[in-house]
Amino acid sequence: MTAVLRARGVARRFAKGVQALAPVDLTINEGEFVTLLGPSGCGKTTLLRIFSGLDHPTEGTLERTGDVAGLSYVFQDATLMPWASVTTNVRLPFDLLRGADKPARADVDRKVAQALHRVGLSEFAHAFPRELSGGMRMRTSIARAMVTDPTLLLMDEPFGALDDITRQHLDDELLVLARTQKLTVVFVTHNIFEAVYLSSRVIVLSKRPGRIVADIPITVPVRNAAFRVSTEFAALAATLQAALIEGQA
Amino acid sequence: MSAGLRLGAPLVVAALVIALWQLLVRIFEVPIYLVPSPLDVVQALIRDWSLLSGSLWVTLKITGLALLASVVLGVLLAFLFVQSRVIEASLFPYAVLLQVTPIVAIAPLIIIWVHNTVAALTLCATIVAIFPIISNTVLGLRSIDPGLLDFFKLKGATRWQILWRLRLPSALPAFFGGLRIACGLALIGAVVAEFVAGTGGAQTGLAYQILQAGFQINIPRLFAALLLITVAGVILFALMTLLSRLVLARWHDSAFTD
Repeated sequence: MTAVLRARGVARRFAKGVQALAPVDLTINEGEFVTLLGPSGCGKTTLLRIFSGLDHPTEGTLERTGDVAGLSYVFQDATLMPWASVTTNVRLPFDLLRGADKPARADVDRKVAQALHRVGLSEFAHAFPRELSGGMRMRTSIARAMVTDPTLLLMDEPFGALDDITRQHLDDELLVLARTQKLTVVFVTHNIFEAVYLSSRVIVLSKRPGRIVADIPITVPVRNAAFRVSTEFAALAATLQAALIEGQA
Repeated sequence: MSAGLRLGAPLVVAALVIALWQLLVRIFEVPIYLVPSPLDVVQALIRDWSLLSGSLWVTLKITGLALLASVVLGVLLAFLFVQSRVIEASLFPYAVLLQVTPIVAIAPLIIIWVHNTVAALTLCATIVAIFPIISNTVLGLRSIDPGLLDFFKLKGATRWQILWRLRLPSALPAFFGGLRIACGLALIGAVVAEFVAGTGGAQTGLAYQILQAGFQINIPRLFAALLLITVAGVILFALMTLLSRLVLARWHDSAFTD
């Protein structure tokens, strides 16, 4: 297994002296779907931002194989440009490239159309964000992340603001994307059931300052509606629940 | 609210007020040199049209030039301010100073210093109109979605790309809010400055006509000039609102809520 991210004693203290993250040792391997699960304010977003390079550890080191171009980040909100159509929003990563990095316009258009197709938004290519539902906005955001064919996808509670049914739909779509695009995913959530459903591995973090309480593999081959109501699912949820409670102590 | 009601309701109010005015002036036989009736004002407007329209053009020209100067200078200063907190902290107090100094107090100086009358009046009106452009544009340029800014940074966007592709569009709603205030202020500035200047000659604006009409106790003409200023202000405001709606049409909430 090839390591994609390797954190060695990574900790983060903010300027006002708040310790957001206790030293964390964590290796994330290629092809894994790793969920960071923990209570609000435990530092999971901080860890994800450090993984992306948006934030830096105050202690320890982070190694990332593969360059930043292969990395995509999906935020808690859709963070779309309200003044631009769905197509323009999804094209943004290419529009920000400069000089020789910039692919030909025809290639860009094809990739954008493909990304919109993958998230089922082809018919809304010319709609504006305010004309879309919350779920569709999040799909647009995912299309924007996927359009550059990333190998590493970092997601920060992307479906937190959505209703259960929409979230379950998007969970399923995400699993398909992760499998077909051979993605490594690091997914932040505070939802136990979402963590069980999506992950190949769940990292449970304690309350602030976040440290790793448990590292639980989830080796269920098929994720579907039946899995959600299986005893296996319930048992895994109970394990995560116990770890979360341990982290509160 | 429907467009018909939004346009119709104030027109009904206007018709009622004018009718009442006409009625009261007739009933109490108010002399024309105190309060002229609406009909007298309309007559004056028609009779003195060549004189008044020339002055209206002068006032509008100064207003337009001042608005243009405010937008160009105001937006450039706002760009400068958001580039660094130090620049903003050093210069913003002086923008406030400009705003709180009454224009009537500095207009005489400007008129002495600047020989060209149009330039002097434009400068006065610009001083009055520029502040809302600066402050609203600065606010707008800073009001960016922090998540979107993170996305730009993650993709290695340059300072220029962030300004052009993120800050500028984000600033548009606040900028248009400032523009609507500034267009009224530019007109007020143009009129006030001319009052202070009191210049005669070929290039006289509506303020001069009001002054002259007052000296000559030609009250209907005074009202007619006043009416032209008011109508010009309302039309300017409506134009700016329309422009704002056209630009923000499909994306900003303000274009959808009434």
